[in-house]
Amino acid sequence: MTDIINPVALVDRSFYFIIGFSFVFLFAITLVMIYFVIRYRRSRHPVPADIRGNWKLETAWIFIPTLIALAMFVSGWQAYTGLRNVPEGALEVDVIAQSFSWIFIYPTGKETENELRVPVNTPVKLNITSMDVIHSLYIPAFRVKVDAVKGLSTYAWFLPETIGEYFLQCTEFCGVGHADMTGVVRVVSEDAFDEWVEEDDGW
Amino acid sequence: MASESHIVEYKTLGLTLAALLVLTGVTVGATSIDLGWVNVWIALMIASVKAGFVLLVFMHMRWEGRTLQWSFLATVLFLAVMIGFIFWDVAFR
Amino acid sequence: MTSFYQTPEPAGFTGIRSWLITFDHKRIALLYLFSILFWFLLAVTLGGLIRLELMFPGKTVLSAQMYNSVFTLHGVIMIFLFIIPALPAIFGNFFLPIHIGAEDVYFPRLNLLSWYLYMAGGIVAIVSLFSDGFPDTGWTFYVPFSISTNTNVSTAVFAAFILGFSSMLTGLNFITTIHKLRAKTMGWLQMPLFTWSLYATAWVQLLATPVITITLVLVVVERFFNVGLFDPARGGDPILYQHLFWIYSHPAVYIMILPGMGVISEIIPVSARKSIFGYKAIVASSLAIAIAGSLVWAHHMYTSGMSDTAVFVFSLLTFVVAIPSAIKVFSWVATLYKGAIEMTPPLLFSLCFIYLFSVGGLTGLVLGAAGANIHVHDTHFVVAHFHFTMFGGTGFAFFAALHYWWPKMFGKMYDFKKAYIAAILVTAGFMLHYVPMFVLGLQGMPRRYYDYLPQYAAGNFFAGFGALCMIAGIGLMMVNLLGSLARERTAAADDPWGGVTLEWTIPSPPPLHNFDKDPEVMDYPYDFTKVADAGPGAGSMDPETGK
Repeated sequence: MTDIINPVALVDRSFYFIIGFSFVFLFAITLVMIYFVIRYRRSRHPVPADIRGNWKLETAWIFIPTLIALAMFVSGWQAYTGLRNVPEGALEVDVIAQSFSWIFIYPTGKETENELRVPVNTPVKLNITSMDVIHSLYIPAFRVKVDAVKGLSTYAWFLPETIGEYFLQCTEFCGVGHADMTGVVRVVSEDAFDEWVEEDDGW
Repeated sequence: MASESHIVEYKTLGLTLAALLVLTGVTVGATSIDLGWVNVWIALMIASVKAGFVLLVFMHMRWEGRTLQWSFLATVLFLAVMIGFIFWDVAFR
Repeated sequence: MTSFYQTPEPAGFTGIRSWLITFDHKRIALLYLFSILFWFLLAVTLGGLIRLELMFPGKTVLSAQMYNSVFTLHGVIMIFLFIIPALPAIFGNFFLPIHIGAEDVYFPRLNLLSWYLYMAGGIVAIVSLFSDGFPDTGWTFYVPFSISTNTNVSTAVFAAFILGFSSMLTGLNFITTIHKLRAKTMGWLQMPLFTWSLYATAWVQLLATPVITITLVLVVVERFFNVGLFDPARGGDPILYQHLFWIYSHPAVYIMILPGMGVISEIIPVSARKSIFGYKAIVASSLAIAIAGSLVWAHHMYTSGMSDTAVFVFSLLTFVVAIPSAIKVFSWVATLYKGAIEMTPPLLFSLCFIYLFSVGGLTGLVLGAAGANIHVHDTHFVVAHFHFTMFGGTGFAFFAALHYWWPKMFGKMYDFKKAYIAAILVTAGFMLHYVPMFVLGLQGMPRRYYDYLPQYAAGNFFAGFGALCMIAGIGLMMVNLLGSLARERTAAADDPWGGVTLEWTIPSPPPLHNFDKDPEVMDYPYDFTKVADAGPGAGSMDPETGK
């Protein structure tokens, strides 16, 4: 499964690219500002210069930030397309949100509540809808978030690469039980998943 | 302030009212012919023409200053852009 | 000279009652000042309650239902009753006519009506609290939840509806005033930048606010008649509401921030005694923000299920709108270069504004990028981001404006030392409050959560601690400002900061008729050559006496 690019990497790359530039910019602007205030304080620099503008400088600081902003946009868009293009052969799970829990339905017809069990190293596509108000499925570990809307089918996909437990939450305010609408994602080995998904547990 | 307030003659007002009534008749008439999706557009066109009459005559826009006329057009344009941009979503969903 | 406080009172309307029927823009501004301060302090208290509840896991001071109502109320009051009206309605009303050499706004009666609508909206909001349980929808009133919840959404929505009218009428009034009442010698490019920012804001108010009023009507129609506009089973569109809501509410954030930028553009050149760097670029960027800012609303909806094409378009436009804001920040900092800078409380608040607003703007880039947004959307990261822009931005501009124009409005100077301590306390508390929330958001803590997973405990504790510092700072600031009114010896000079815009050419507080002779308009609105020639001491004051 190494030929599939995990969108987590793309999202993180975009994030670090943008936040990196932001830190540099913030640091520079703050330092310059503080330096000016101290260097040109009235007691030390009583006669101000009369500078009203400088079109070369102004053009430069319109042009350069525009280029940087466009580069940020591109990085964000690449990450977004990564999140949206589902690779072939993904395990499809139907997700139904309701106040206040998550229902997961597997291809075999097996259902679980507030627990999503998936095999490791297999892309998983979630087809999401809601029974009542808008909810939003959020799995921080996989950078996945999409609204569950009644009457609309939305989707998300992720690639679990490590066996373990991750948490999922509702991120669209849905009422008094909003904060309790959490669940767990169990990433298990492929064999364990196949065995589990076939077994009839009385649902 | 529009320096002199314009008083519209009764004749103009009467003619406008008549035009509006005739156009209402046309709208009703147009619904009896089935042209598929064109029907909606015809109804909307007639409604826009009527709205135009009301604005220009009853609401005095014809006799207002340039600033107000442009402000109004800008507002319509703004609304059109807003609704248009929703179609980035709706048309491609 | 008698100030506007000593206006002759009509028979039967003495004292406070003469204020309630006043058409004087200065008195209306003060009516707004005290009503807005009341709502601000109430909403700050509610915000404190939210943080207190979240300081420790589990239920502490609020129940879940109560918590939901409190954050809704905090949002509704802060947005509709504080940030949107704060700068235009208080300082715009007071100083816009003076800045352009006018006696009053163009429609003084309409101005008073706007204040009454504002108060009516506030009262309806309070009534909804005590009638049937305050709505628990968040200030966004998303459908279908706002239609199906059985709390009192209709009344709260009606309150926002009334407040929308107040905002629109103020905008209309300002546009007309600027077009019609400018001093004959004042051309468009001789207007102060605060006035320019109000002009751009007023257009957005006038054009975008009707959209929210209609949208809120639709919510009420749905609640009472169940038409199905947003119900796909009956041909409606489930996320159309979000489009309509953000068509107003995104431009609204520019309604909030533009006047704040205008305030900073006034304070920085006066403190540096040097012309603003790039006057025309700042004017152009205000207009560009007003126009481009109206076209980016759907960046609040990347995860809503809207089309990928829309995500592409709105993400691209969002990055475009970042440029004019950056230009302003560069211009402010460049204005300081080779100035003769005097540190004053308004300048300190302005510098904090530039820093905090930059953080807010830069984290906005993370949110504007489509892929990076998905992870942090609707988490504490977003909450921290918009508090940096709204509170660190507009809120600090409001504090700066209070300290800058207080001596002009009341003729009293406050204590500088207390003002500095308050500014540092608020800023430090602010950082301690909101920086942990960025981290919490990246860890995945959603917003509007009453309770949270154990890994979020540390961040929430620090945030709560920071909030308490911040509230203490705000309290000290209020005590300092309001306390100055009671003291006799702190009468302020007419021009305590060495400003050159027209408000500093008239007495403090201004007389009933703003100008007794035609105001002298300068060719260039930020020409400090005369002030600077008068020597280093001119215009600056002794903080002890305020002279």
